[in-house]
Amino acid sequence: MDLPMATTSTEQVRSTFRGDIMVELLGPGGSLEMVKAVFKAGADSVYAGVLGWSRRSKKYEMRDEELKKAVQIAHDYGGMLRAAINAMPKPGEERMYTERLDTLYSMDIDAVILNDIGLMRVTEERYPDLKIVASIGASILNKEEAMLYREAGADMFVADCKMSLDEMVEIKKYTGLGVEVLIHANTDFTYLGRCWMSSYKSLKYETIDGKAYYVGSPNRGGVCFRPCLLGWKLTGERIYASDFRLPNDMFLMLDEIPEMIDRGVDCLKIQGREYSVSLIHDLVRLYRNFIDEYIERGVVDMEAYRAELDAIAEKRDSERLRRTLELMRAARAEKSEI
Amino acid sequence: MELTTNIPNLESMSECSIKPYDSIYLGMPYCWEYEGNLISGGDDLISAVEVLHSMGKKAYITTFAVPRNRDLDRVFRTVDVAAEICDGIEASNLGVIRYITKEYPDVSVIAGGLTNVYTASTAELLYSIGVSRIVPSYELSIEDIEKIKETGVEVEVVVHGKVPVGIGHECFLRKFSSAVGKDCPKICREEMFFRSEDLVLKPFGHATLSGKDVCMYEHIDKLRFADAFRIEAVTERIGYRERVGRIYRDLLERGFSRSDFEELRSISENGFANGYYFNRAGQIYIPG
Repeated sequence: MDLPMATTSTEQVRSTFRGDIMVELLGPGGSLEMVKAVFKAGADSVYAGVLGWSRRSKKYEMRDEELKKAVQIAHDYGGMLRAAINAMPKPGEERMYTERLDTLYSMDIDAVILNDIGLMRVTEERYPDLKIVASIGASILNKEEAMLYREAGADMFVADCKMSLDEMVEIKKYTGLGVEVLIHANTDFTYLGRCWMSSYKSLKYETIDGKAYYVGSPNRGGVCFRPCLLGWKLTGERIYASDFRLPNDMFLMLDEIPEMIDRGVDCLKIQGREYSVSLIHDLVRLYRNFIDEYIERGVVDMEAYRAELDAIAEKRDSERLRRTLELMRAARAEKSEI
Repeated sequence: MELTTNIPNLESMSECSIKPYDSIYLGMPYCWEYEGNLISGGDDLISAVEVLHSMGKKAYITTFAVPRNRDLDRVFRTVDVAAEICDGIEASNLGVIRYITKEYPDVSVIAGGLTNVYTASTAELLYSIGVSRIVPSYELSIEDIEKIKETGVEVEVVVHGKVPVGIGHECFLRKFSSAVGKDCPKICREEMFFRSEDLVLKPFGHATLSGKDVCMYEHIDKLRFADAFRIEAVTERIGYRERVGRIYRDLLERGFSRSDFEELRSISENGFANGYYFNRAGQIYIPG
């Protein structure tokens, strides 16, 4: 492993390029305040949702004016901004998509995060110089599938949380796509873009600026009501099991990161637009320090980082529980309205 | 209008259960380990295709819905056989679709409902590489599906049965083997449901299905623009496929029957839903 080429400061975006080792640390931008905090904490890049067009509640998305400011903040730090435009539009909204894309491109965004392979091809044809990241919602499962995304214009894919590092490396080698890994996210018992349980339970159809917006459908832009976290029973001839949850677990990676860096993972992403700014700041700072220390020294004090991460996880769990209860209440309310 | 359904293995393939249909999808896409699964190819697949052809039916094969790198060779081996003997191949994974369209450009390719076709742009892309028919994402409404159809590709829609509401990397049901007293591959032969609040779901292999039967019997005229109607029955008993198929065949040829509709209701374990056809939550049913 090569030694570090330069030291970095906290107020300036640092390239995590050290000799032949390079990895991008990507943080969430749920608000302008969060965008600033993420860069102050040392992220290389940030992602922000386009209002009505990303896989999160509109509370954590941005209007054009905010996006422009977010791009400015990112570039002032020497960083990059990815626009998340990864909710599935309705068929017939393709023209709205290209209008959105034109606007985003004119803002000088650095990349788009997309879910729909057809829209990737549209994007590639319109702006061949714009980087396209295939969202985790695309649920790319194998190298042949990844190759079709590559042919449609993708430059990078977000690996499903259940994918092994060997699989990611195999896909990267076969396709030439960059690999992005979620290091703070949740994993459940379905592939992320292949779950419709929430909208099966409850769904409310709205519009935002004329675009369809489905509250309750993660794939189509609204929130997920997290029905997997309800208490479930397994019934048949009798009740076989009761009061269990369907798997939906948060994770914070640490031990796996050094090997990921060594084997060529290109980007480490921290999810969390819906969390508090202070929590996200602390997470980014911890991972920044961890990555830098590993790349610079080749070893890290795992125990010290793990202890710090455990403390952050406790705060994260508490914020997540509040949000889950809020969503479950909303699902029941939405149901009564429809 | 083509009326179609799916059958997981030879054991489920009785003459009566096939009779109402114009075509059959062979194989269980949610699990490799399902007993006698026709997606594994081999002599059973050849026999099944011969039976269907002798009855004047089209024989399509389906493929494993969620293949990882390690599964690809196995999927492709079946595709290589199916390309020679079947009338079409259904795939719900874009990698498998890429393989079929490149290796067998003359074979009819059907993009299954788990392919996640939400937009006309994706329908156009798939059509351009050789996909001839699409089952649009289950989450699309009727007006959305009409837009997919406008791209020129054939469209197939589920008119009855349990549709997937999720699919993952493993069979979650197997975790309950000791509680149920059966293990794979016997455990999924039991009729079992997950229940919570107002939700009922049917776990099956890697998939989780709607516990209610999506039923468009009362609304069938709204879907007549489609090219094929599917009775989703791959996880159902033989009698279900036969009775539901007969009722929809009669609906297409003779029109609405109150008694047939009531029979559908009696077959359904957990009631009806309309899925997402009306921009509502998938589990809601709107009377016609």
